[in-house]
Amino acid sequence: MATGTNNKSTNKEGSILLKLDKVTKIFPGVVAIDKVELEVLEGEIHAIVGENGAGKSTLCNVITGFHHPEEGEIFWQGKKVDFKSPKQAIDAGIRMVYQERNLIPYLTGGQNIVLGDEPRKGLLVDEKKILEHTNALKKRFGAIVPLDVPVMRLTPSYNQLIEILRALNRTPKLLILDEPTSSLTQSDVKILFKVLRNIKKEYPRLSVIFISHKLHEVFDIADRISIFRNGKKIHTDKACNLDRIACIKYMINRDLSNRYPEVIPHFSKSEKVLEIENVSEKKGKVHDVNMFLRKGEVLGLYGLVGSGRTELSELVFGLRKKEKGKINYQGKEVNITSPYDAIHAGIFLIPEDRRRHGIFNGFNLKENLSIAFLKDKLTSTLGKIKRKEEINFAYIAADKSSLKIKYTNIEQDVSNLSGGNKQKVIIGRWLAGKNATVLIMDEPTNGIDIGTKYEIYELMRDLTKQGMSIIFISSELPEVLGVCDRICVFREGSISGILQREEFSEQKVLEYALI
Amino acid sequence: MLLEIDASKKHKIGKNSIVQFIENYGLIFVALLFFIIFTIIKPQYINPRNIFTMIRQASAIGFMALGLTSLSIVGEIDISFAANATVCGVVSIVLIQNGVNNTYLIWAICILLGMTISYFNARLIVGLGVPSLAGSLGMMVLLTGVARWLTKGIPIYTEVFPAGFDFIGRFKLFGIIPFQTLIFVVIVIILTIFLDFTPQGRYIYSSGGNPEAAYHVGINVGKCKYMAFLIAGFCNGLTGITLSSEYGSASHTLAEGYFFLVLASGFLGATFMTGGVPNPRGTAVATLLLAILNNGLIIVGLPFYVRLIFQGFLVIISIVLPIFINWRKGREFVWFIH
Repeated sequence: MATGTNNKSTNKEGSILLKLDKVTKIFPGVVAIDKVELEVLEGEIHAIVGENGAGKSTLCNVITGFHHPEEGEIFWQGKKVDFKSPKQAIDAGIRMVYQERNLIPYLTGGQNIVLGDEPRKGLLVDEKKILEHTNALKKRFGAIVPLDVPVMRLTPSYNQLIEILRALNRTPKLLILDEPTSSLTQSDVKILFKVLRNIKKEYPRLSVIFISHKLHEVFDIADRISIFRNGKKIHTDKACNLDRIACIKYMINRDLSNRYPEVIPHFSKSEKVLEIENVSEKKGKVHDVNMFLRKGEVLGLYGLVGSGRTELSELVFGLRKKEKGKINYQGKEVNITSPYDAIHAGIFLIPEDRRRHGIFNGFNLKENLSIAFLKDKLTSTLGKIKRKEEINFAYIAADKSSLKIKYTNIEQDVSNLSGGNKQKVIIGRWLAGKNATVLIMDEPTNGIDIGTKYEIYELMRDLTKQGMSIIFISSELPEVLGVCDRICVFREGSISGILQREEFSEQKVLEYALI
Repeated sequence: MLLEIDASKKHKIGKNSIVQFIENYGLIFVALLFFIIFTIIKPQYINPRNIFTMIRQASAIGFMALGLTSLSIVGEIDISFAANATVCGVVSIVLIQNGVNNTYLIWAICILLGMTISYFNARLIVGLGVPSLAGSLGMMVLLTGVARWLTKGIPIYTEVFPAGFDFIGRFKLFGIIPFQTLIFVVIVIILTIFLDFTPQGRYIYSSGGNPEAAYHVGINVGKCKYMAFLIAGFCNGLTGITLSSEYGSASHTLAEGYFFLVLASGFLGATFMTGGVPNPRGTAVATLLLAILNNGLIIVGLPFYVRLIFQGFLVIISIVLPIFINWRKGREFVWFIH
């Protein structure tokens, strides 16, 4: 399958399905999208790229009728429309698949696909018909996914496919996919794109809006690309007329020729701060893991989703129980049974799911920054929290070099911070305590814009200069190759290969991960 | 990103701060408002005797409401609080009937009893993972049965009380300020200091706000929840001995009449000062408001069923209002319902 640059048979060239004319949406104090002019042609895959805060989500919310624009007009199939609710947009033929899954966990794939529109046998739901219908649907698009199992037992990739099938169930005219690959690994992405191309073949007149951060994927699948920045649409062109560098330039309005900071090795050749010998989890994902972490190095853990990297890090951090094996920390054997133990030893974890496991929405910024070291450093002998010290601590955490958390008031509400800033809060909370020996970062740049990503990479290299050791879990191969000193490749619960920086190659890593 | 900064700046100046002030402290104004309304309707309302009766009632409500508040901070609820208090009150009288003469001993036993009952609830809800509403519901029925059994269904009383027994219920500082109210104020102060100014208190808030994140930061969430239950148990036991001391007797419905007022007051307090987060000071103000309302409705002469309907209405509002405030602040969830 060639790249998405051939426009030959699929669209009636020039037939505009959706047109936005100077559409503006304003929230209190924020202009989310500003006089946007956009055209989506029939039958094309139109990618929308931009940093966080560029307006992509708001754009979709306006198109799907969730929000009402303050200015501008929307034309659907040539006629002016004014969707007063998402239902009107759905009825018009616009379906959206959101970044986060919206499936009912205990229903099967098939049931989720027909949800709201179930085939009936008299008064009852016709389960047989559901299976027939949905199996036929998935065959048409070549989507290999079990539809008779409750979706909570399926991988994120399968869930993604099921949601797309759900969106296609009533033959929409426009399909919007919001960051469809953010929780998928590379092989899952390949499967997804295969399905998308099949969909395009089956429905030549279906248009797709594809929102993504990941430029290499965008060029793989899109016909045309629109770049957004700060709420404005900056540029639209055919994918064949653009390249990644040009897109980045439009996205951030500055030249970023180096995506990753220079890797200057700071690791000690001899000193090992963490040694993991033959560690297995009882009936779990992880078995017979053997690896070590040198002092001052950035060690990358790469692998498919579910290959055991997160589970291993949770073992080290005390969130899971190890059944077999030994863990040596700073030369001595340790038995860490809870995050409390790990933290006291100097091992910190930045979890993958920052919303559920990281940020306290009820606390303000200062409280979020101080929570980790509240008892240890900020309490007087009488047991009270020292207010001034806490505020100072929070300032140090927020302004520490390379972190640059964007805020106005140290006691402001955290729920309004962007994803990138929230991530910085979670990182900063640990760093200000100055106790960190080992920092485990699980997908720290997930869903974060390019500019902030660079700041986080810089921070990681900076920390190793200060003697910290970092375990960096990521499913983005380019960043793992770009930032790490060494890579451990995981496959099905144990390590399939280890590469030193001199040996880094995309090919080798993927071989270890997939074969 | 720049747009975010402008947005929060805008919220600081001019009109918005007045709106903020009303949102934060509104509860006091509402309380004052009703006070004035009732006084206008029936001037007898402002009789000092009536006022202090009202304040006395408020204390009993207040103790249990503080317990409820502590639990809602950690995201749990225990609706057996009234039954708990009733059992403790009944036991205090039973002890006297059986010859226990030492008032302090009686108080200690009853408060410990309250805490033990709550400890059982904690084992059920935190230890076993039973959903708090279901678990405490079962406990409520059980405890009500126990109370009935101990009193054999009729109010129990004794002729003679050990020295000092009626102190809590009947003593008045300077002849007018009820002792219960003083205890209430002291407990509010202690709880406020503990919850808002100590790290353990902050941990308790974290365990309710985001228990998973709290665990990830090394906080012992289970310990925090147990603490909240024990605080509630203490408060319930205190309520029991206060009421039995006040009335000099105990029935199996000792604290039942306060059930809905406590429920309303425990939640309504979240609207005071913290914008949707339960807190002890807010509960104190909410208790006052509800006592003013309840007492006012009696004085004004409305039939009891009107009061009941009104109480139900209040419970609904007391849950809806914090949700509304949280929603306005753009929070993704309501503090104690997740």
